[in-house]
Amino acid sequence: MSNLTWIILLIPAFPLLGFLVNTFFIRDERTAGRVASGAVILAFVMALLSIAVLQAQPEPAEGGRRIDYILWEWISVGSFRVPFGFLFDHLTAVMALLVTGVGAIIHVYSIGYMHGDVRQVRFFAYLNLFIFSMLMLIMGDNMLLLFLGWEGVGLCSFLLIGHYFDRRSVQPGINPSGAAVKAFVVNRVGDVGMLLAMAAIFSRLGSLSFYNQDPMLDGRIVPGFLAHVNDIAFAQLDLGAFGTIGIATAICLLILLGVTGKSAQVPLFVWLPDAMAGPTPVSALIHAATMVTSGVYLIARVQPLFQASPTAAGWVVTIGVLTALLAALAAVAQFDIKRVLAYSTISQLGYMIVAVGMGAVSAGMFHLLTHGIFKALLFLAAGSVIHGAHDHQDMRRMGGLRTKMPTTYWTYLVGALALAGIFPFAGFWSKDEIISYAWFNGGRPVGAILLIFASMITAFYMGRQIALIFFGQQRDTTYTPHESGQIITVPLIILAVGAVIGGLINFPGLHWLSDFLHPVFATPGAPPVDETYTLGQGILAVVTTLLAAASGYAGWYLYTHGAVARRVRIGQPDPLYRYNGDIWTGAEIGWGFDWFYDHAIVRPYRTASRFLSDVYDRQGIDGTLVDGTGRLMGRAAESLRGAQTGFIRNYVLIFLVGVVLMVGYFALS
Amino acid sequence: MNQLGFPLVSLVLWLPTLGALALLFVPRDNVATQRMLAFGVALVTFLVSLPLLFAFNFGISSFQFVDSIPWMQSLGIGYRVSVDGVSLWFVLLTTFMTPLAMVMTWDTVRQNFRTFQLLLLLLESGVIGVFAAQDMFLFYIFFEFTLVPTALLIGMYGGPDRVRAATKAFLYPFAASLFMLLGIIGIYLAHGQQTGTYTFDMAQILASRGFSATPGATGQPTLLLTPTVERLLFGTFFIAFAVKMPLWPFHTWLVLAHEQASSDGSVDVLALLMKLGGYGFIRYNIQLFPEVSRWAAPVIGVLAVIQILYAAWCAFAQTDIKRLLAYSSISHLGFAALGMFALNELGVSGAVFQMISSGLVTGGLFFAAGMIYARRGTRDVTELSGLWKVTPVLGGLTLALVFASIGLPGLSGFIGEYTIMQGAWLSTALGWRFVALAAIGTILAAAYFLHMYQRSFMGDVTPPNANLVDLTPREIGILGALLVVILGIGVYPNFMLGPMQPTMQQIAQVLGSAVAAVTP
Amino acid sequence: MVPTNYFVILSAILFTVGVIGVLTRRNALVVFMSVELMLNSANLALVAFAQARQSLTGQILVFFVITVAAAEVAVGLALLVAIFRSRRTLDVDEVSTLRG
Repeated sequence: MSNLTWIILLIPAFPLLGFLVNTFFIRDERTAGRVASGAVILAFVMALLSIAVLQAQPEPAEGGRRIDYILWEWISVGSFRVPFGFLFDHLTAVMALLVTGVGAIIHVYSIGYMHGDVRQVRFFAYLNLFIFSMLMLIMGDNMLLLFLGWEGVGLCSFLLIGHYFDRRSVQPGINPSGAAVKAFVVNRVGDVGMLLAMAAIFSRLGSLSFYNQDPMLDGRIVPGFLAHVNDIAFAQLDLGAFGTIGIATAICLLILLGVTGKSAQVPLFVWLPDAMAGPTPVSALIHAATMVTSGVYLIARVQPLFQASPTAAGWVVTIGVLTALLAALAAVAQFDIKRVLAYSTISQLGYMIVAVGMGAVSAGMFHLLTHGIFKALLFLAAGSVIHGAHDHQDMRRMGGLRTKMPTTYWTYLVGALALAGIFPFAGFWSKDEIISYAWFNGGRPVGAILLIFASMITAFYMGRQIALIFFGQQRDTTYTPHESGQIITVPLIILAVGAVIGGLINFPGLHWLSDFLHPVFATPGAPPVDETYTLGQGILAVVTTLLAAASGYAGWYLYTHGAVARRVRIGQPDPLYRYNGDIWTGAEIGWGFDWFYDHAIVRPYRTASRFLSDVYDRQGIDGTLVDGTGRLMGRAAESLRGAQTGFIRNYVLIFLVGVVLMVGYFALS
Repeated sequence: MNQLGFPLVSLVLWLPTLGALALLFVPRDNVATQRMLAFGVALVTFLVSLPLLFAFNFGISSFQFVDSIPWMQSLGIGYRVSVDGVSLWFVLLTTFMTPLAMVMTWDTVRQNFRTFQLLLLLLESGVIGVFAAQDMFLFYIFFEFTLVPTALLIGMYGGPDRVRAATKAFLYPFAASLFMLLGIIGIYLAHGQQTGTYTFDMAQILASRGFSATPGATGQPTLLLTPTVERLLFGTFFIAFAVKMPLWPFHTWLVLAHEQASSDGSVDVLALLMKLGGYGFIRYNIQLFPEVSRWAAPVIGVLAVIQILYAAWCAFAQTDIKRLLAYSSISHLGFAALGMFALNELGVSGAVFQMISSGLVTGGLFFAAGMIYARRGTRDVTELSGLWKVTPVLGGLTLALVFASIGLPGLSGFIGEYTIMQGAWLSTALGWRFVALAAIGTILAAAYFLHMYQRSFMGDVTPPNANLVDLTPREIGILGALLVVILGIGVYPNFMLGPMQPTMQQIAQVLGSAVAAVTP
Repeated sequence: MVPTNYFVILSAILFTVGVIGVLTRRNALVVFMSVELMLNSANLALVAFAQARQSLTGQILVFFVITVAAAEVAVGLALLVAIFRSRRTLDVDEVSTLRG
């Protein structure tokens, strides 16, 4: 079995093949969808096989089985050696299963959802390219290759957000091409952090590979940097006027910058709500289940770095809590069905970031998995709703869809309950694990309380959303809603089952996931942590779920019964707006980050660039300095040209005088 | 005689010139024959240049395939051409791009087609000559000679303001390279006075400086210069190459030249993107004067960082795609300058990679701009809209090139940028502060390129853009060939970096001792 | 035997006449003739010195000068004809378009 390690190459190979085939050969829409889905399903199978192969590997002495398959040396200049190698360990396995599993379901769903849409072949090609890039991200055995995937998913995100690039605006008033550019550029801001972090890691730790690598193709060994993190634990960097900063802290903060970009954290989350301009399956796959979680994966992967810098870990937790709260509040004030889910995603990503920031990696990964399932479910169900509601996305135009779309309703409800963290759905277990870790193990009770508060808000806005979409009367009667076909509902049911039983994978007391991930993170030789479930944790869990259930019920009740529910009208502000005023507006516009960036950065930049190009460059450097030199020469020539009279005798005279002078000089000297 | 026993470099160098002469015998009206002849010669030159790569001895750092004929013996001038691990790639880039540029001109040049092709071929010879010349005198001749076809091509076939652009593109670099002539004569005289041999041969001068390129022969330096003289000589070369490359703030002629050069992009690619200045920096400033380079590196590093950010910032405001590309190319060269003056193996390798990559990627984008112009008659992004929908193939290929230029990993642009940043970070001359600022350039690059792409290729289709036809197979072939190479060296950059290594190690070794001598 | 001095003095006088002619006359033809006069004065000096030094070099040089002068006449007169055709004048002051 152990010789079958090459099988891990097939995981990304199939989506890549699907992309190439779809790009260059397929012109038929149905075939494209089948090819793409088939490729991802095959990748899923390969991921399962790879896990079997991984488990069959001999356990190395230092612990932690992993497969490291180096294809070739990517860059090699002097001591700077980066292999083009694939890594497959337990962390990668979990991510690969999520990416290919949820990915496969969403691909199949897309065949139905995108039917009749424009540019389907391209759409499926991009989806496959995305799966490939995402797999590169999680399978890269060094930072640089991870960055290839990191930027690759950014590219796919750009392409898919811009799927409707020829439209001026899609609901709710987003310009798709602008949103695509915004997503990429904002991500680029984070990527600069990644670039600098990589440069710093190599210059301080001498390698970009995560783990020690088997002798490379030419027999030399490239060391892994994670094992040497302690070398820089106390090293300081002089920042001049800004004092000093620990090297590890600096590297972690730079990585954190990258994470805030890709995983949509404060302050760089602004691109994600606009990313909803893409088709709904894209929102489900890329902007909820997989790509945005890559920041969480990254922090999990380089966990030793963050453990070496408590300062940076504190920053991570702060950012995560802040994001979880702000985004949850913003989600309350949205009317667009997908925007609610978008802000909800940002908020849930905050939870995961908090978890990995505290070092509770398996809790973070657990939430990543369950969230991947139930958020994909919610988005796909939302897609089904949008489909059934004839492409309306505004929840004020819906209402009472429960009876018209029963399957969608039930699956949506399951997703909402899971998201709200209601017992016994998947979200409850994973969220509870993070909160209780923060309270009991992480020593951050304030953070835990804020997270519980955020979880209550989560339940509230999901209650509100369920009420607005499925309960009451249909407020816009210009269309007749209908249930979606089987190709859409079957994936919903599969995901709904996952959202119900997903908690099992790390059920307290069983903690399969923790055990599975243990070899990746544990110090070599240490036995698995024995997590006994204490009474305190139990009480906390009960309290949390009760609070969530109560606020979820409140949200549902408020928007189904009484005066508030009656005042929900098409085009009118939310009834709660009159009680909250500007706070509500703030939440609605995502706390004004967009406004701030627009006024503080984008516009001054644009104005300054015009000045720089048209005035400073054209008139200053070119006009004054360069042409000025030319003009100076011209002036000098102007004063000398008078000697050129045009009369031959003048020339002859000057010539003669010259001859006389020269002859005189030679004769007399 | 060289290792092949066959003057391969000379053949590559003079074949285009022979082709140009042959073109004169084709009747003026017979455009079809002219096309095939010019393209055929360019293609054969490319094929003939490939054995350079296959026969190249990757193990040694010195000049290879040397063709040496005494020329003006009394002055120590010889016809000496050769390639080493650095110039090999520039020669190959030139021979690869020329046939593509030829094909681009087929539809766009309506008048004086023969002259255009003839000048392109002469230009190719000139550019190859710059890279292959091992004799400083020969180098100077080729360096100046390239200006002649360049100015004629811009002045005869350019846009409305072509004469001003051609004048500037000729006079500015020409005036600057006169300083270099002084420097060359200075080295020649100093070498003659101190060692007794008057020669322009780079290999011999390097050996006399103690920087021998032949392994094991590194003897004591016999050519010793005082620091003042050394800095003056460095300065003369610096002025010439800073204008030619160009470095900020000597860049304005390039923007105007790119804007006015013929719309199809052939002149931009062959004359203006060929990085003669950057090559000169590595070959002369850094190799001949490592200690002065170390002394000047922080200042040049600052210039480079300003250049990266300044050019990217200016690019954001451009509406003419070719002007935007000109600024983008300048911004790329800022990275290259940063890498060179990191003065270590990583930085210099990255700089060479970046210049080659920029030649391919920006060249491809200039071709794409030419294809847009050929269809729409304008390059103004405010008048273009929704082209991706109307011409999907053009849109897709352009997008790929745009992302290559932005520096998407897996394509060639990223490799250069990253190795340069890593090199500059590790450099004792520069350090992380330079990198932190330069890295912002990657955000700005994404901003201006995607802004341009969004305005011209995305959005709804306005009526004037509605009936454009998509690319012909020939045009797809041009961009496709470029993209294959860009992807190829992006995924397997060691293809280029590997052969460079011996030369780079040799440079790095010399630089290392010089840097150690200067650094307190 | 006439002393060489005499030849040289005659040559100098002829040369001066030629120079004055070039400097003062405005008719291009006369200017041209003055130039010829200067050339021939040089010839005279050359022949005189050759005779004095008993060397043939000077004589040979004279042949060259005469040849060049003949060629010059051919080109120069052609130019004059061309100028006269386009300008209808041979006044050299009128033909001053190269004035700076």
